[in-house]
Amino acid sequence: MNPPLTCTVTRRLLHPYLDGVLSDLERRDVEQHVAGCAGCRQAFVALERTALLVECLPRVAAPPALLARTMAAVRAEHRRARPTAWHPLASLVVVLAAVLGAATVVAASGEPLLATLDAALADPSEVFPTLASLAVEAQLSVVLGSSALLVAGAVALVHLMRGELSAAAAG
Amino acid sequence: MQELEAALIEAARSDPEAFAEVVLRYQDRLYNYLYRMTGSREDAQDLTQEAFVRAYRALPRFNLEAPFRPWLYKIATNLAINHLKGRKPSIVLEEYVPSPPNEYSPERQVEAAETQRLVSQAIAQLPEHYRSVVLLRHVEELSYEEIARTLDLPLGTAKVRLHRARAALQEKLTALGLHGAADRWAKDDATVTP
Repeated sequence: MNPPLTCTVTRRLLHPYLDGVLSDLERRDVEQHVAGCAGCRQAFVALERTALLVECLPRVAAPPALLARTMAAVRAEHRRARPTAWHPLASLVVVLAAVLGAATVVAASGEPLLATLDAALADPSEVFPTLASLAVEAQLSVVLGSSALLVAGAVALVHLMRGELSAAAAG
Repeated sequence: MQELEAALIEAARSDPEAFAEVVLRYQDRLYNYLYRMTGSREDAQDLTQEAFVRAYRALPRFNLEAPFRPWLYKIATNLAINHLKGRKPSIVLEEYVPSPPNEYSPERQVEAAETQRLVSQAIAQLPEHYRSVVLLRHVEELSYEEIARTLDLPLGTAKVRLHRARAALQEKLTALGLHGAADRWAKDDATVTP
């Protein structure tokens, strides 16, 4: 059996005692001392009360709009970190804007642009570089993926552009 | 619970919408913690949002074997500490939180509200590193190990800091006259109820 605890040791043990992390033996030793020592009993009561006063504080709830706000920020972070993960349609929309831009270019430059597009149609691997350079000319930056959908869409667009340009050149 | 949480977090890594579940689970707790750390509802909102954004950003690097809660609280605590740097030493809660109505007499409720105000003030007057550990233990109910992880401290250091923080808080409460008030109630009934 251990010798009884001193007040000094007991005071230090009051904290883990309060937190419930003492072994059964240690807990019994502390309780034995506290039972016979008014000073340590008072110290424990004060410590326990301090903890209880904090634990009983009411909680504030997050305002209802915070979830939406946070998720908007999270989605923005998601997009920021993954700039090339565009939806295929987004790329097409940008290229279409480039088409509209290119249509005004043709009025001034005419033939060479048509030839460029014909070459692109002849060789599908040329489609992306062509569209990309046209987009650059129209002062837009386009990140094009290599999915089949994009290829098909881009080829369709080149046809469209060629149709537009022929019409513009004729009219 | 740990399994479910690990699954949620893994899903959230590639799908921001899955992260909404994580936000729902923790936002009230984080908000409450950050409110008590900063004393401002607006700051608590901004910091809660920022904590989740940073957590989302760092999610790919998070080790799924590790506990998530201390990791999230660590992000929040660091944000709060940085936010409070260069500010006046003791924050003042911009408004105190009204307690829900209960069956106590009006006099008792007034006393309870006053007590709550003083406790909030005492916590707000603690230095930040004491304030955080008291809140983490007695409001957020983290274990010693979780507190050590949250504050990036060895376990022994975390325990000592908690003990000192509680002692400091006790002194402040006594200085604010609170322990005397609690004694008065203790005479009325057997339990101490603020």
